[in-house]
Amino acid sequence: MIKNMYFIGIVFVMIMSNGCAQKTIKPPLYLWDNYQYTSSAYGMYGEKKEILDRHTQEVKKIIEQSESKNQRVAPGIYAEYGQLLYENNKKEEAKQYLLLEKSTYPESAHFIDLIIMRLYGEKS
Amino acid sequence: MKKNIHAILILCFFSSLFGCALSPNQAPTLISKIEYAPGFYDKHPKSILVLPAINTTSAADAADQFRYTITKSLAEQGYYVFPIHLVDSFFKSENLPDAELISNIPVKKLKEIFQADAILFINIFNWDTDYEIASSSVDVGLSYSLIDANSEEEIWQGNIFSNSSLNASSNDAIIFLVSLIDVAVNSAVKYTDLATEANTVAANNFPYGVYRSDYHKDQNETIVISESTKPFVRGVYNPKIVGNQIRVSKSFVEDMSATSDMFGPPAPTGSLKLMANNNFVSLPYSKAHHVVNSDYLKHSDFNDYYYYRTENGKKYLRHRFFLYEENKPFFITENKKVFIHTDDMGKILYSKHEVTDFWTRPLIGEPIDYSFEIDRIVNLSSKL
Repeated sequence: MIKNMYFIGIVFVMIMSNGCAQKTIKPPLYLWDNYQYTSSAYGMYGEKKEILDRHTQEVKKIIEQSESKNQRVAPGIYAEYGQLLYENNKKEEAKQYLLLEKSTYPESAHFIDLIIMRLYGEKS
Repeated sequence: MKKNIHAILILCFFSSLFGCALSPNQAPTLISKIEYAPGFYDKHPKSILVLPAINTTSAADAADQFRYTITKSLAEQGYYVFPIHLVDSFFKSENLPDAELISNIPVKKLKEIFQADAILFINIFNWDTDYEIASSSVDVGLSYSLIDANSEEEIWQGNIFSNSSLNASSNDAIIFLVSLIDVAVNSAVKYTDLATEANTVAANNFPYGVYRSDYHKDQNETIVISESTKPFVRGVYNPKIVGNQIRVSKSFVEDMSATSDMFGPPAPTGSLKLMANNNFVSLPYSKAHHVVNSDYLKHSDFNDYYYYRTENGKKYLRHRFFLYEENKPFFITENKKVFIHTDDMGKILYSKHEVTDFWTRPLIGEPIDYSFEIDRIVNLSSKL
């Protein structure tokens, strides 16, 4: 009986504190790691080789880690890796990742097709 | 032992009460997401194209910093976000390097190129940074607007005013960049954190997108509208409805130290030094908030309170401190959406009054408050 009372008490307190909670923290959908930093740096100082390399490595790492955990890769990441590979002159590999963006996120299909046409002069 | 548990329970109970206790002057209004933006859920976009932000501040990097970090916030809310660097390269290859030019591209044309469901326009008007070795902070003021690409209607709109500050931390990324490049990049990394903070605030109240399991189930989730964060001060009160007018105290319209009121001629230009401003409520890092009504009105010195928004080729004047729906400005107060009148141009109409009521009459300064003419009122269902 007393145990029950405590139980009710604890539940009550939990409810009370919940009522005020701003927002429960939701688990992240994707893996980002240091993406924010390397992406911002790339956006602003992308002409520097070190920055380009660092961002390329970061994106590559995110893809590998997500895939090894069977986690969906965040929107835009495959396409961005494709773009980075292209800048590193790995054009054929780049195309594979652009296509991977398209198959993972069909929303991107139209834009990716346009990019592939621009870069490779062909329809995919 | 039992007594201890008792004491702990009682303590927990009270702390749960006080944990969110509000001062009497700070009654928040709750608004559900669907009431906030009634047009959103019908359209419910799946993909978002974030355009380069229009930056009217003197901080050249502000717009980029903000934009490069927004992808994560929106993607985590469940949207497909077009890859920002690829989008940038595309615009560059089209000889469109400038945000202003890009934002003038008709929505229809953007839709044709990207097949995006919605387009996010960002307008940054304040980015005041204070960078020091031990800590840095940034005051961000921006308006954002999400346009449905098919109907070209605005389906979500908001203003963010946040102050994020950051102590020197042991962040790996910072260390990596310090060792790698130069001081400019190092400070940029700090701003990346601050920018992330600001746009997390922006995205937090956003309806969930299709990649989340709770997609389309959050219509009744509430957004908390915080009003004045000041304790009770004579002459300072939250907006109140009187007849067909809504009255606001002087501090709502004018900063205590402002030299001109926000509806009149532009205030003198100059950088905002909010930290030095007594009236400014500094928020700790990670507690930046989505201010909707009034706190930010304590900020003075914005050099332009109005900006233009274009919809279907028509230009609408917008006041930065109001929320808009169907291009009409409104307040959220007393569990109501209160729409107010503008002139044909879109300028907010207001009048000044002398305050005669003893209790609200300020002890110092001119005893004046302001009122706006009410156009219509929408009652809100959400209660605290």
